[in-house]
Amino acid sequence: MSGGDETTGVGEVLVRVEGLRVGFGGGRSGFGARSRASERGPAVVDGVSFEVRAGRSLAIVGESGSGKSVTARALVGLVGPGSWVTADALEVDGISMLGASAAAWRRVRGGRIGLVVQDALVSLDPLRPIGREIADALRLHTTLSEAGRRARVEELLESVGMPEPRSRMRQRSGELSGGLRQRALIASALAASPALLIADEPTTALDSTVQAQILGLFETIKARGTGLLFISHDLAVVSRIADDVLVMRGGRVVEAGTVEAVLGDPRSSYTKALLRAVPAGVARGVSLVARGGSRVARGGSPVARGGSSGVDIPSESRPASASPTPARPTSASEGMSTPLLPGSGEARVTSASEGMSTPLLPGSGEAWVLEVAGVSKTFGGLGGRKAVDGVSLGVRAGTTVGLVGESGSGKTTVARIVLGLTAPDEGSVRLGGEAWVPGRERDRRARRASLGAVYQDALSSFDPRLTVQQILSDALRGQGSVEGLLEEVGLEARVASARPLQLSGGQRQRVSIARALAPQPSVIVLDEPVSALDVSIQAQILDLLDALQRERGVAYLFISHDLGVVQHMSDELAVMKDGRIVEQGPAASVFAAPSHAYTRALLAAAPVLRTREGGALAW
Amino acid sequence: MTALIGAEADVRARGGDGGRMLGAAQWVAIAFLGLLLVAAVAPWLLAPGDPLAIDPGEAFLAPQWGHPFGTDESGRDIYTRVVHGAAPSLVIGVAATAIGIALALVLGLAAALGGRIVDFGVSRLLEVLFAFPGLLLALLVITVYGPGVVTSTIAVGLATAPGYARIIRSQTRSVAASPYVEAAVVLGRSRTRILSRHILPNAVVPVFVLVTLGVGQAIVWAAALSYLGLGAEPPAAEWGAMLFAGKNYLATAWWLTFFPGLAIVLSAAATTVLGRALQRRRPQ
Repeated sequence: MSGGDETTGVGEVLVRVEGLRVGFGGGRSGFGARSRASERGPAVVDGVSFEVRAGRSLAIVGESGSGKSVTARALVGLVGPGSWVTADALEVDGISMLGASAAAWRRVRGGRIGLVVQDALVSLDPLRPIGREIADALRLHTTLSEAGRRARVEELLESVGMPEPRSRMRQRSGELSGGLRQRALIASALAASPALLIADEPTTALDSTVQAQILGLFETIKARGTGLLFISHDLAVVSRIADDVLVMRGGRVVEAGTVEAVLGDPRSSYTKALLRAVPAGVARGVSLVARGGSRVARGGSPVARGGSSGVDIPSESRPASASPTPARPTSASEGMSTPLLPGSGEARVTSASEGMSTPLLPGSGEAWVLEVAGVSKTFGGLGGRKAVDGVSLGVRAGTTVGLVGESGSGKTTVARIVLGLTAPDEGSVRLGGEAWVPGRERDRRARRASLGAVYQDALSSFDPRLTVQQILSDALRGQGSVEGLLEEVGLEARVASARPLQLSGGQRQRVSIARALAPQPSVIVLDEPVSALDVSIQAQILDLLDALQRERGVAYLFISHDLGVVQHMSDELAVMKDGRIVEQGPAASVFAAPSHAYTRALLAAAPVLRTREGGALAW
Repeated sequence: MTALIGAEADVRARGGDGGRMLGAAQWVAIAFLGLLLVAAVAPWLLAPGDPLAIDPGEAFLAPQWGHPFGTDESGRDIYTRVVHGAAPSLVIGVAATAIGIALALVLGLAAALGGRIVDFGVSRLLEVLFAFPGLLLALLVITVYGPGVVTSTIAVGLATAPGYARIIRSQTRSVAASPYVEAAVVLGRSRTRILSRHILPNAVVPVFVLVTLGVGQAIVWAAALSYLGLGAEPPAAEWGAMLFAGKNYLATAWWLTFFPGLAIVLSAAATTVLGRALQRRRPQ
């Protein structure tokens, strides 16, 4: 390795922060009033202290609005305009950065501290080859010659696991896949051999198999002696990568310690609630919010806390909402004999369900509410991409079928075909035993009431001019009251007068669910319904969906990229890859004994909370 | 001890602070438009005299006490004429914009919702109209139908329609493709219901912000046509016509053209300032 000051020994303190406080703006009063230090806005990071040592990784965990990203940005002097930053101590390499000049910060950034952010697509110049981007960082922070830089770029790309680095360095970021792009960004952050690498949600936008690779890369980087400050909302990711953990909430440190201590034996109720909220490995029907044997209760916490942090975790004093009941039997036993496929012996059922028994036909005792038979869809005309290729699956009344796959696997196209929004090229969909797709929209319209939909981005699915009251009464068409509907999804009646824009993410998704429920559907298609939510809100929404299913007997087609969520929610499971279903069957058996190589790869890549593997935990 | 780190400085509020949009300029604009409205509805409140009364003995008086804006070649009080000229100018401006928007709504909605063939036809028509400068288009209409206040109003309306039509078309298309329209389809809503409940309000309401901008432009165009002798004709108290009448005395009696010109500029500026403020108020 050239161009580096690789002098930092393992264990040396790279960054030390004490009493960090960050806030934005101040009260702007009237014309041209300049706010002074005395009229600062409230602190969004309040009294945070930590240190990062060489060869170790510190993870800052928190939900949106917890101040974790702002904390990381304060370390590189990039909090942004209109902000104020104070600290009792802020040292980089033992040198105090209190009151440091812009030039001093520039030397630190890229030179001593590298920064990797979530979205590599916007962080890399789309018009320049990645090799040139990385060479720029070298030009600023090293004295290498042109040829030396090129060699170093190649070396860097190789070290981050970029295949064929020599040809890749001539490609632009748009020509690379998400994983390769993230590798390129990491390479440019590592260019000047920084002692510390700050990674802000570096894997959140990535598919789980790619995420696993990138996490592996971070482990390698750490093993080489670089310190790592990892910002994440994902506890499973943190449990894999971190040595030390800092749990933040509302700008304050709630809990800090080694990863074993914090995740294995959490002290604060907030950390415990966060850990409980992780759905992976939690049996079907068990509440995520109020775990401990109790059943899912609908409520959650209904009202947003003034839009402050969006953290809606009920306090520990909250009584367990219902009497302990054994979790609903999962399909492991009952499901074995009733594979997912509605039509008999259809093609493309993979070994898992094929091997077990004859699939049941619709009408043979089982109530199929939704049957998808061999649908295909190609986009872009002849020679276009086959987004969906012969997909067949069936949903029985009152059950959940999980459809899991990575981005681009065709899951959303399946959802749109089922909803009658995209016409399939081949195949058909039956709803409630009757023909549904293909068909004319005019004929479908009257039966639309029995099919609901919940979308990932709830906000954009609401007409921005309408209030919650109007949205829901539109959906109800006089069949029931808005208040009753709101209560059913755990929202207070006064939410009705708000517009969706004024609600928190969790509240919006509740309204979205209420709208889908309003016409009394027999099946709801949920397309990534919790992907955009914080883990604690996600837990509440999953609990709500579970409770509603039990009360109303509504069936779900639950589409997600998140194996943990799907495992928790589904009776049956279908795994999609490149437009095909590669494996399907009872969820429990697919998870226990995946038969397809891709399913195994997905399962292996899915980040799992390490501590949970140890068995029973104190909480 | 707590020390300050880095640049605290620039505490200016970041963009998108939706609330207090009305600054001094906006209030001045509102005040001026209010005055203009009074002048249009009840001009005698501001100028009790007769705008057409001539007094040859008092011709070409420079601005002075009793005649704040001076008098013209026939001794008519220019202040009175400017005040009384507000009504025709505003009516022409508003009416022309209304005509333009109405036509644009028909064309834009037809293009956006009428299927590919209609869209193709309307879009090409708009492109042809766009190829002409707006004023030239207005002149064309006047050449065909003869000069006059009504024709020049219609002409200006027609000339502004293509611009509005394009905006309405693209706005309607994006709303029609939005997730909330799709959500309404999934709920089993009929096409007409979706159109009236979701598409029209969301596509058209933002356009009315543009209207405030358009009125100012229409006033200028209408004045331009009158100046060319194609709209209102002297001795009518209309700003463009007053400019036309005064242009021969530009070197000797500047006030004949200055004050009507100022009125045109201020009206256009006031509507534009207000229109921009409204535009910024709307998210997106």
